[in-house]
Amino acid sequence: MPSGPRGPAGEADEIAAFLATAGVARGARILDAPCGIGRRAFALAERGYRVTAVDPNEVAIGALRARVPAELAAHLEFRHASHETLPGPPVSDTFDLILCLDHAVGRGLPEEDTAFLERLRGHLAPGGFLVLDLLQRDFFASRPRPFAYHVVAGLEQHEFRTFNPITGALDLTWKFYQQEGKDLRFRGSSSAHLRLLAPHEARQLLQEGGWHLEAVYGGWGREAVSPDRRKLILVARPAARVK
Amino acid sequence: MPEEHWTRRLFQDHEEIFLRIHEHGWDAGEEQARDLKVLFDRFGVPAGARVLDVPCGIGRHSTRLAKMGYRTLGLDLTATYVERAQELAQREGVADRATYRVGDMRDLARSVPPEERPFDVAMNLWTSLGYYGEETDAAILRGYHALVRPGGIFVLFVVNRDWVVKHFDPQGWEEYGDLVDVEDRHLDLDASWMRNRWRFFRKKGEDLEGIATVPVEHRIYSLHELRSLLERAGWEVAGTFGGYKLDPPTFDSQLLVVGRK
Repeated sequence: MPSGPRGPAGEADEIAAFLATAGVARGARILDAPCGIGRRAFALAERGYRVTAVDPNEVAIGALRARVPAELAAHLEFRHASHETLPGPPVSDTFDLILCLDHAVGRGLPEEDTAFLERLRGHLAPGGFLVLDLLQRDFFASRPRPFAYHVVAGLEQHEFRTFNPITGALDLTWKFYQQEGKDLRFRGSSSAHLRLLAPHEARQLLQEGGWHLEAVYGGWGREAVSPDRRKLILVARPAARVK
Repeated sequence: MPEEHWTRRLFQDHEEIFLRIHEHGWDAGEEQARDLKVLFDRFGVPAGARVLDVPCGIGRHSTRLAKMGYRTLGLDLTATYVERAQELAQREGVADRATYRVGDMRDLARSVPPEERPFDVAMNLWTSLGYYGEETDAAILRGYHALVRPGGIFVLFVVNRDWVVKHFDPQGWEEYGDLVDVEDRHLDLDASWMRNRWRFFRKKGEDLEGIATVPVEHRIYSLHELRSLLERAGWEVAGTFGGYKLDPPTFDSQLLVVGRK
């Protein structure tokens, strides 16, 4: 069954391997913002990192807090912060690594992205760095895949995609179905409008937010960037001088 | 017991599913048939010529060609499609020139009695080759060859392996009215076969009600392979195109190959 290599468990391992190679030791403090439904926050905490996960979705954060098992409580904290203040107070909190996963920029206005990246800078401990995981424009521009689906625990998620080369925006609609024998029972839908970036545009965005792009990869395995890779993994450090 | 071949499952056990897909493609046949006439003229097929169309589905090409004055015989494995083709030919007022019968492309000799031969044109359209493997394909192409007069032509339209490789998408979604098809596709490069699994659903409100899951597997060919396959079967390759519009073939096109006897 094609739940495929993009399944959640596999990805957490890939991220952990990426961090290990980058020299991020167990026990390092990680900020995961926005953390979504917390899949990677849990997985990284289980691997010994000290994770603070923040998201504007208050309901999700409440539910995630309740799910933190006692043995992870010292390693994993979920916090709520509004979209405008993400990652939220206290400003004095600093981290060895900041993770922005699942295309956390390009969802609103470009100036909001810049402000978000500038706020993140204040949360970085000396010697720390930022890792951004974005969908790559060139992949979706050159390999239009109008449909994809995957199945997790009997829940089948259908994804319909439209890429507009004029605006560089990817429109996604998801429909969720429960598998019941041969039938698929509709359980809900959601959608997203994402501005996609080519590698040079990502570099410029980071620069505007006060970051220097140190390395860019085509995937968590440090693959070379190419239009055949759907992701951009960006590693950035604070720019020497804030513009 | 050997597993039932997927063509039997898709075109016979679940013939109602593919009937819907045939009906969906009926309108597109109008323009394709006009393009086929341009092709016939270019390759010197005379007006009123005899055309053999196997497999014919519901006759979306042949019935239109009959309206242009050709005399057509269409064969299909599925009786339901043949009956629908007869009905549509009647509706279009060409039942006297467009004949439809049940018949198997692997057994053309038996499906077409001597008094109906020879044909000026034989056609195999809409990727109807590769279902039974390369050796059977060569035999099928010899079958068409035996039924066409010397100087007559063969028109083959299939998906282009190079297109599949370049644009490969492992999953797909097709909609035909309230019929939905969720596809898993596997490209077996070692054998050059597409190995698909098509899951069919009926839309019921927002739910999708499962109808059937059918494997769809076929050999896919690049242009140079089709050329040698045709030549093995006795055809001289007289034209290679990227589709019904007779544009040149590319990695981004379908394949339409014309053979001459």
